[in-house]
Amino acid sequence: MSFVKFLPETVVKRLQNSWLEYRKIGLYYADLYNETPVMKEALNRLPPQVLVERDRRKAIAFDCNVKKIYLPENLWSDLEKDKIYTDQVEGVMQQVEKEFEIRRQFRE
Amino acid sequence: MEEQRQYIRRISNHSYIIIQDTLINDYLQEIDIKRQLYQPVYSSSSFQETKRVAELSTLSNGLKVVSLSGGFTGPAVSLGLFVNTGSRFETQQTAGVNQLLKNMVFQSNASKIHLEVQREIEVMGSTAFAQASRDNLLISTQTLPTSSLQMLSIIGELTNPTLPYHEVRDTASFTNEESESLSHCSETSLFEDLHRAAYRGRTLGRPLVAPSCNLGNLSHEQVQSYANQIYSPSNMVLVGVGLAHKELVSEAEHITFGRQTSTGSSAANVQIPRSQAKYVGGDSLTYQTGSTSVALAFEGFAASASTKDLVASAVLQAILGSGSVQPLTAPGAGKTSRLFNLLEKSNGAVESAECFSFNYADSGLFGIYASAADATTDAATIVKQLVAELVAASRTSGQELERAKQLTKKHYFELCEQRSSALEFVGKQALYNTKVLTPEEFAAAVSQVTAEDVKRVASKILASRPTLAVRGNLDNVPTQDEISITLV
Repeated sequence: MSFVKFLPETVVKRLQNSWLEYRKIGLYYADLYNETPVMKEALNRLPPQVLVERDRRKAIAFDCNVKKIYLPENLWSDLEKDKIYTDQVEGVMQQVEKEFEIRRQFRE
Repeated sequence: MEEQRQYIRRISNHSYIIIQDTLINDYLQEIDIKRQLYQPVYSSSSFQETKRVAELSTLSNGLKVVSLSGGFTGPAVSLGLFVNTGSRFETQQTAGVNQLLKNMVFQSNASKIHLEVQREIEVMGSTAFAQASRDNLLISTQTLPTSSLQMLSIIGELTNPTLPYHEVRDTASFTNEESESLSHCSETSLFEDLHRAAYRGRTLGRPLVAPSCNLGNLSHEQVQSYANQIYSPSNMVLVGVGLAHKELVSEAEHITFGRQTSTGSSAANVQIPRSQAKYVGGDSLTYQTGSTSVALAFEGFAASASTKDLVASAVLQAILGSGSVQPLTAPGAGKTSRLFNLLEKSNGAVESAECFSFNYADSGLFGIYASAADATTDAATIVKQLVAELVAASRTSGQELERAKQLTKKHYFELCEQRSSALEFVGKQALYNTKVLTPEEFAAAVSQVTAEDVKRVASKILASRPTLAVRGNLDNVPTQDEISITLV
């Protein structure tokens, strides 16, 4: 996907507004991850406010899915906040993966 | 013949192998060899007790290092760290943070995650524990001398915990369960009541057991801020038992102790009050069914008092001793102590009694704890007898005094026999005073105790206001004035 950085900015914005459909129901990228054991432990470690906001987004997205509508444009998720949140979750997941690896090595 | 003898020795473990072609002579030699192999050797062991030496010095970063070498502590080494924190330094907002930090000692630190910390200690074949008291937090480890350097670096890392949010949260719920289980132990609750009444809820009277109602109020930032302040080298004492002092000091110089990260906003900056403990004296009455426990205490001696007074109060404690209706058949268990005789005199009113003496940095408690199994005995009868014993104990002489002195000496030596208690013995002295004494020096001081010393010490103790803590039958609890009158 590295060709995206060579595209002009208007094209990128158009692609973000059309391709990234999760934004249209108010979700962030890291909300789409599957619930693996690593993800479960990572969610265990996030601060409670982050988890509360995640639950709110999940409820709104579920509602949109049932009604088969998109949110109005002003309620689409913000890309900067998305990046911050996704980086946070990714960081925690990497830490958890490292610890699981240490645990696996102990077993051998 | 030699080869045959070696052949027999090698296979003597396998008793089912039949030795072929042996003469009766060889068979007899085999029995002889077995007897030699399995005979215990009692005489002339090469292990001689060396003189115990206790040394104290300070490193360049402010860390105090104390070591006790010599004597019988076994081939292993005990390394420990006393942190000058405790429930006496808590405030209304931070109550319970010390028990939380004690449970977090072996969690993640800056170099290793919690799993690695605990695994590394176990892989070395060592044991470690953490203990939180009213005025110190002890991290104690026992290890073999070959891995003592690694253990020292581990201890240095333990003083720099990361305290992440999820670990603090999980440890808080564990601490909550711990407090809840401790609240069922009536002896613990009684001594909590005693301290609270004696120091009027301040400093040493603060709850040692973390109150569950406050554990939810402790925020992550408060815990971080508190840990930042207590984990600094000038606030700690490193103790080594079984190591040479110079080696310990030179190795400890290379290790960083204390928390390097000073994160945390100033909004959550926790104040740690370092105030003098003032003994006030008071009452604490709690209704309870099942049994009646009474603790009667007076102001004792601080650990900073003179050695003469400290050993004299220890002798007084040995005179009173302890007693219990459970049959104790071995001598040395206190059968000739005053409190044991009290149990026989009281016709079953009192079921067990024990004289306690706590010496904190700037204050102390000296008293008797007694309990009756059923709640039909009221507190007044128990207290009356205890007071009578306390007053009578000050008038002692002759063989009883000699017995008490010998028992006290034995107690001091016994403390230093075990590595873990030797660690606490020497470390607490270093924490409270500037001079560390060996048990031999304490024993020498005990030899010089006279009946006048005991009388003086007892009258000083009994001159303070009494503190009474009762859990159980509250029908007839005497007031402080009534107790003071009977003392005169």
